[in-house]
Amino acid sequence: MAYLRLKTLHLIPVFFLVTFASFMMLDLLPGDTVDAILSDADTGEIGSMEAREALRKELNLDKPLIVRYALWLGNMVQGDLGRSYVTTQPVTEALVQRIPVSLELMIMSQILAIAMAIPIGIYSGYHGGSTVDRGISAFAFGVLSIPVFVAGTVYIWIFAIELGWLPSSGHTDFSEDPWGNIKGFILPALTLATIEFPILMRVLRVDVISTLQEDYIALAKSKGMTTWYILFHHALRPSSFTFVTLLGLQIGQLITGTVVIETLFSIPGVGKLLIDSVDTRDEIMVQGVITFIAIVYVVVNLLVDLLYAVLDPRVARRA
Amino acid sequence: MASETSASPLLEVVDLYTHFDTPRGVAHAVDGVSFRLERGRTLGIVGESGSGKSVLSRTIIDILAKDGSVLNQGEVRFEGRDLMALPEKDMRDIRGREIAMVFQDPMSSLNPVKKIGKQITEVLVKRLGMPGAEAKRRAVELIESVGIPDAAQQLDRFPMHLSGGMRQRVAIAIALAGEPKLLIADEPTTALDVTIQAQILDLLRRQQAERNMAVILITHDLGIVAQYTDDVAVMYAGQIVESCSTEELIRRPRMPYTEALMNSAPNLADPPHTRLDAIPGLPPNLLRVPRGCRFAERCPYAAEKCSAEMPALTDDDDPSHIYACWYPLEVKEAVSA
Repeated sequence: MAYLRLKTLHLIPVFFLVTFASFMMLDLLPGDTVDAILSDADTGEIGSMEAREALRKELNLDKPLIVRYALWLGNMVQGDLGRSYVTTQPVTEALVQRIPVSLELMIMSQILAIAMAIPIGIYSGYHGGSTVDRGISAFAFGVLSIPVFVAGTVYIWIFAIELGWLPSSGHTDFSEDPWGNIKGFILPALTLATIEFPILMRVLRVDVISTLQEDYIALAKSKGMTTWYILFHHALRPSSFTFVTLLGLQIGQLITGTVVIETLFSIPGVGKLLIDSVDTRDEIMVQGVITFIAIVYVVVNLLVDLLYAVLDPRVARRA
Repeated sequence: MASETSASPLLEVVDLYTHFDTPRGVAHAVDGVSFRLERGRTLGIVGESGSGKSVLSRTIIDILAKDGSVLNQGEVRFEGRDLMALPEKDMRDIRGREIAMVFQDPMSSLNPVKKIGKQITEVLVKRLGMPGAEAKRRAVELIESVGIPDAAQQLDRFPMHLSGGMRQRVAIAIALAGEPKLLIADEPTTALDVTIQAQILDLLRRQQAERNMAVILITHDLGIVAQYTDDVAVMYAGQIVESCSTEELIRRPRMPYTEALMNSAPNLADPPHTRLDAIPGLPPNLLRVPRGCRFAERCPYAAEKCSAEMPALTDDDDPSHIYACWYPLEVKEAVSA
């Protein structure tokens, strides 16, 4: 429990740093939010001085940066991230709509990536240095160098256009059509998993190789355990530290990394929301999304830290 | 002494070679080793670090890597069956059930992320086919029998909760779980506190007597050999250089290396600050073993012939005492040593 408290305390300064930095950077961006809201693209009108001043006051844009941050923070802790300048939709409401979509994509892609990385990583580690191992490594590096949009496009071409098994884009609500919903996620999830699993596989492979040198593996062998049992029951857990760390970082990244995928496959997730909000200079929405991403990052890494203690009881004791 | 007449010893190793194919050349870790071990007896294998003792034990139980870097030759006959010729599946049935092993360092030989109970019961469940509940009961008995208090509570603890001596007791309990006929103990007390050493070795001896189990006790400590073994084989640079009953070895060593080992052990009767006789030089590089006697370079008695020609194992009149030396120690001289 002391371990948990310590880890949680570490996260508080991180959170303040991220939210304040993003607040400041948005403020430094060229252009004026008031212009963005009031100007009419067709007529070129920018609104009357009175309207502009009123809006500026309403949005607290007349106050110094630090005061605005404090006001925003005060509202944030009460769960109010403000309203979109553009659509007037509350930011939290927009997030609540988008989060399940991104979450489903993330979970599916992580399951696929883990399902590929663990068996291949263990196999490769067990046969470390063999021809098969080297073949797998070469393949992994090849896959690693493919940009995400290329992988996505190739999958669309194969599975959606040539074979016609899966939709190339779009999103169906789970409540309307569960199977249609899942089908829509398969290609984007597979794309993300494809570019992610090589690194996961590689770190697991290295750790498996070093774990297999341990005396307790020799002991397990001398007990007459099967190779399969030794690999999965004796070697996997002690070999999974780097793997889990990386997984945590990737999950954090995926929340934003899905921006490209969500755009490519027209999936209305958090990444798409962020891109659209940047397009329309919807600063308060951008700030909200960034805050959400920061929270996810921080929480996921806390979970990873806690997972260490589960994976190896010695970690909890050391802290 | 009667051993060579009995029909089938428990273990008979015949001309065993284990070489490692390394990028720098072939390492002759075990180079033509032969010995036999009867049921219920204890054989001490003694030698310096790097003499091939551990590799020999791992070759017998066949747990060295199978990636092509290990080259084996020879026979390991266990109850008449050649283990070297067994397919992996049959060999797995031997490990744990017939031959078990205790490793040197209990800090690293127990899986740090598995509960102690699980590490014992997996032998019982996977190898003896015991149901889970029965295996747990049996594990408690085993933990009790190796002298760990509060046996039932230990099942849910991790190795980190135990001291080195307690961990080695757990390792012994694991080895005993499959009720093996042969236990290989690879320097079981080297990593432990001196005060714990005798406890662990006494425990091994008690268990051995109760179960009529044979033991191969690998050590670098002749004191342990003298106290705990029936027979002894002295290993040097991958070869057995002298082998006989323990009593005989202590009384009448013939090989100068054995003598050197004896002289390099501290003696309680010596006055304080007596200089220890360390053996000068280093064991030969196993990648480039010399043509002649491998000990010649460090031997105080070495002559020209020694580095030119390798002495074969031979005996005088007693075939149970064999040694490999061109100029064996005089019996008289050895008695005073």
